[in-house]
Amino acid sequence: MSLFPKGSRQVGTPQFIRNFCIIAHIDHGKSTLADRLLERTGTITEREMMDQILDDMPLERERGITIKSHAIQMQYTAHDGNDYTLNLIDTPGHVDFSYEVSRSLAACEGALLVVDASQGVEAQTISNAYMAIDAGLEIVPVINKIDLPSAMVDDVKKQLVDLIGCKESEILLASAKAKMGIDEVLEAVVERVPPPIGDADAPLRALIFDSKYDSYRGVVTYIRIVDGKLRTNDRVLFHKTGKVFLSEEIGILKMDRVPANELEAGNVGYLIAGVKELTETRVGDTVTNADNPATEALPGYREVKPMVFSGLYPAQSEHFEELRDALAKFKLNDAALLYEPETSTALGFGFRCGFLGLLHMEIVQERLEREFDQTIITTVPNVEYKVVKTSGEILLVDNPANMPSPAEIDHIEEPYVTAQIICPSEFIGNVMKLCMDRRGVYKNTTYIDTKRADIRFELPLAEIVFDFFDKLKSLTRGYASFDYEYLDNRESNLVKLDILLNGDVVDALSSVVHRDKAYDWGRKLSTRLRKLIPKQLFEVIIQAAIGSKIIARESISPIRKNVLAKCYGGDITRKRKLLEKQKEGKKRMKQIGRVEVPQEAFLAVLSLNDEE
Amino acid sequence: MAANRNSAEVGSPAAKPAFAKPSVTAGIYIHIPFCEKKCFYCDFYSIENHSQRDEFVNSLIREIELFSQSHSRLEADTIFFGGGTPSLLSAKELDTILNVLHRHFDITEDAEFTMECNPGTVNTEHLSDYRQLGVNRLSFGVQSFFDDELSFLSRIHNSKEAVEAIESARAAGFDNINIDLIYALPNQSKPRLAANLEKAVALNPTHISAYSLIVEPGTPLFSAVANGKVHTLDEATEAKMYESVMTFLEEAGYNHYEVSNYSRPGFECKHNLKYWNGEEYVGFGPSAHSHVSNTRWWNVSNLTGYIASLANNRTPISAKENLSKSQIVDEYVLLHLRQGKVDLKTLRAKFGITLESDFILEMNKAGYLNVSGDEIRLTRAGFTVCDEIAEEILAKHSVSV
Repeated sequence: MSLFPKGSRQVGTPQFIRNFCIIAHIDHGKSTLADRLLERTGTITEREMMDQILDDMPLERERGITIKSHAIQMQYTAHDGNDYTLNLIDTPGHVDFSYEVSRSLAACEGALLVVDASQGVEAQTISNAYMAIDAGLEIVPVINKIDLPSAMVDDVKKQLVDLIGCKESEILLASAKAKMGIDEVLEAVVERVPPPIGDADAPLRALIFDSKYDSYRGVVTYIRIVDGKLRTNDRVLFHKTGKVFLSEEIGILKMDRVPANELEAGNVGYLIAGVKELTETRVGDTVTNADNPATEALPGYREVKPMVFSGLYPAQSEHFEELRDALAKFKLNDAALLYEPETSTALGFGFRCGFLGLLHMEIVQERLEREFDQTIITTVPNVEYKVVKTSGEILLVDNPANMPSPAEIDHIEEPYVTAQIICPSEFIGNVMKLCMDRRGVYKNTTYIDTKRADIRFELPLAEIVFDFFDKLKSLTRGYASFDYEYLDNRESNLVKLDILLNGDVVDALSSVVHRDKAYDWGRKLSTRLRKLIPKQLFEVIIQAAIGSKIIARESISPIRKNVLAKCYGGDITRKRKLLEKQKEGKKRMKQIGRVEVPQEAFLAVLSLNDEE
Repeated sequence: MAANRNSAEVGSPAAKPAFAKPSVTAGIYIHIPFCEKKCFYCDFYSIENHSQRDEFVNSLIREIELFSQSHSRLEADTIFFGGGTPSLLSAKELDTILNVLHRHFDITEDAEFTMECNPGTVNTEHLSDYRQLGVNRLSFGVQSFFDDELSFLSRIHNSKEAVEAIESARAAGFDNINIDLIYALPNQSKPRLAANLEKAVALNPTHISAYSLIVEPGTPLFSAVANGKVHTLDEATEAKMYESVMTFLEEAGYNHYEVSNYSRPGFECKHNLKYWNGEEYVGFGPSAHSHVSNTRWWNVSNLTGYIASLANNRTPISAKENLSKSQIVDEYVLLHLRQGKVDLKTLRAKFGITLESDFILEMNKAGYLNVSGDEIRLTRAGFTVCDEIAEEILAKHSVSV
């Protein structure tokens, strides 16, 4: 019954296995290189090849980023005449998903560090490279896109030598697009990446590095066998949860799942064990044999911590249950998403959600709309504040509306990050100014080469949540790259800024801002809202306030004319369709008191820095 | 001549069997798709090439015959010839068409029979012939009494001809006359608007339709506005002009009975009221619309296609829709508000819509409507935002279906 190729027992022994991943800054060609490796090893034919085969979610292909890590196995006959099993473990490239990178790394012994020959080392090249070094991986540097006219191979070589301390001669040159240097990459994987070390005779220890939900089979767990063997019909124990399941199906990962009877130490594969919920198979957990358990679990990962929070509400309140179901299904495949029900006086019943970062938030929202057909309103994203009350009580506030009154607050702490920005040196001034405007604390600048600087700042996370990355890109004509990492919590002089519409506070529009910025912010936000809220039958007054003090005011004059002069000649259909369109538009708006507020208004703050 | 028609038709082969007692009274609309010159702002279907005129009349007759073969016999109490320019029809052509109508419909003795006229196409003799054929109401596309405005609108007549046309109509024995006006033209001043209204009222028509200029997609006016060659008035100015039109005409003794329509008491256009009261009508000719038993359909807006369909004995219908309950509600609220009043009891009983009293109170406070008993009535300010109020009512107040 096994589709496992004949003789695979021999091929599968650890000395002929290589487990590796590809790490790169976004757009440096990771996916194309992966495609070439799959093609060259005959894992997939060129004809079957879709663009960026590993990225199988439509959204991923559109954005050109890998959101969920995957793994795939290749068979390769090396120049030494031996057949090797190569497990390529894919990693996401974006900063929000660095935790996923780190867990992918733990399943490998080596990493291809891919750098674009025309772009050079970028922020995520550095952060990923350090993560790989920290994880003890053998790093194989590859300069990709060497056939581009703008390639600066020698410069990039120097950057890589500086970064990872390799020899120039160890750096591979390739163009995945032009199929140059692919064999050399495969040979280097075989020669340089060490084979897995593990004891096939010891009790089973397998590391869960990813899992996904399959609507037919339940949870599919991706595992790296560290010690021992895993067979079908074994009783498996998940260390952290203490739960025991029967291994119904195991196998290796090709373009599809390929069932096998046994997986041995050193190999990578999947496990289906009738698990119904992702929370039961925590990524980073150890799987062992319930009848012969290992005494010690593998070192796990640090818990994923959401950094950015926002309210998600159904555009129409009667769709609350549908949104709840959609979130539950979504979470089956995205354990990083946290959510709990909350109520807003403005928006009704909804959920407060925690995301890894802004991109993660956008992806969740977009996929909920596209794949789950939900129309949702999202509130302005915010960070989590630590509020120390005068009573000594400590509150964690992830929704500005829940901020206690100023009199009760002793002080507020907010999360800071270390930000690393790499840009051509002519833009240093712009970057400095942006970071200072965002309350940044300058640390230092080093030069990657003669033309590019690596600038370090400590920044409040809240300040990069608001369109920081877009601003950075436009101030550096797209040349800057950016990465950040949580640093610590710090006390800041923060106030809660409220927005009132016709005298009523709109809780969903409240935000927490630094006191020095509150006036400017309040004025900009009111102006922005005046532009976003359409004229209505009544005058609309917009006010920004700190506590009971009004700091800005705008008004929207009532609509003066909305009537079609002509309803004539019997064509009622056309008029009715116009009316239906308008009516649907109104239904999508949220009614706050008598004021109809369009959904975009709840994200007004995000584009606030464009407001003059 | 007209009086003889019913008897002439008795015993004709097209007559339906005795059971065909009409149950509903419909309106009949005939679309004449020809113009001497297409107006700058107009989006009704018409063409300047008249070479297919005979084929058109034959096709129109074929269409009426096809309709009567598939529907039970209808009674009609209004006939409306619109266009295009129906007044281009010769008396002979009109007579031919009317003969066919009388053969297939029971047209009531007192039916309202309107003919739209372009002031540049008529004279007393021509209008007398129409009168002879049974036309009893004329609607003149005067639009303005100022030559510069008429030339901006690319009308083929001048202001003198407009006045002469009305005088000819009276000479031909017509006493039920509508004057169409268009206001809120780019750069139009308030005194200009007032002068137009005064001149119209001085001619003492039974009915005035005063439309503010609409920039319809697909018209040359639309492109001119899009390229910045023509600047429309701002919303507030238009609204003020609209309010002044309402005030002036009401003070002159005209009853404001629809957004853009005013009449001497009893001279409301019965045919147009069918459109606005959700009643039934059958339209013939390219682009004509029909509404019978909760179904709306409309013909192709293309004379060649129209003629080709009918040459193959196929109806020239472009599309059809069966109205859902919620669409009926939408139309009811929209069209009744446009007549300035909605009966709350009917809204409740017929459609299950109850307007919150808070909503009505606020609208009243803001000066958009008055309430008397179970009826809400739009004020002049209310008329300026009539469609907005309809949208508001329909978006906010759930319908129990």
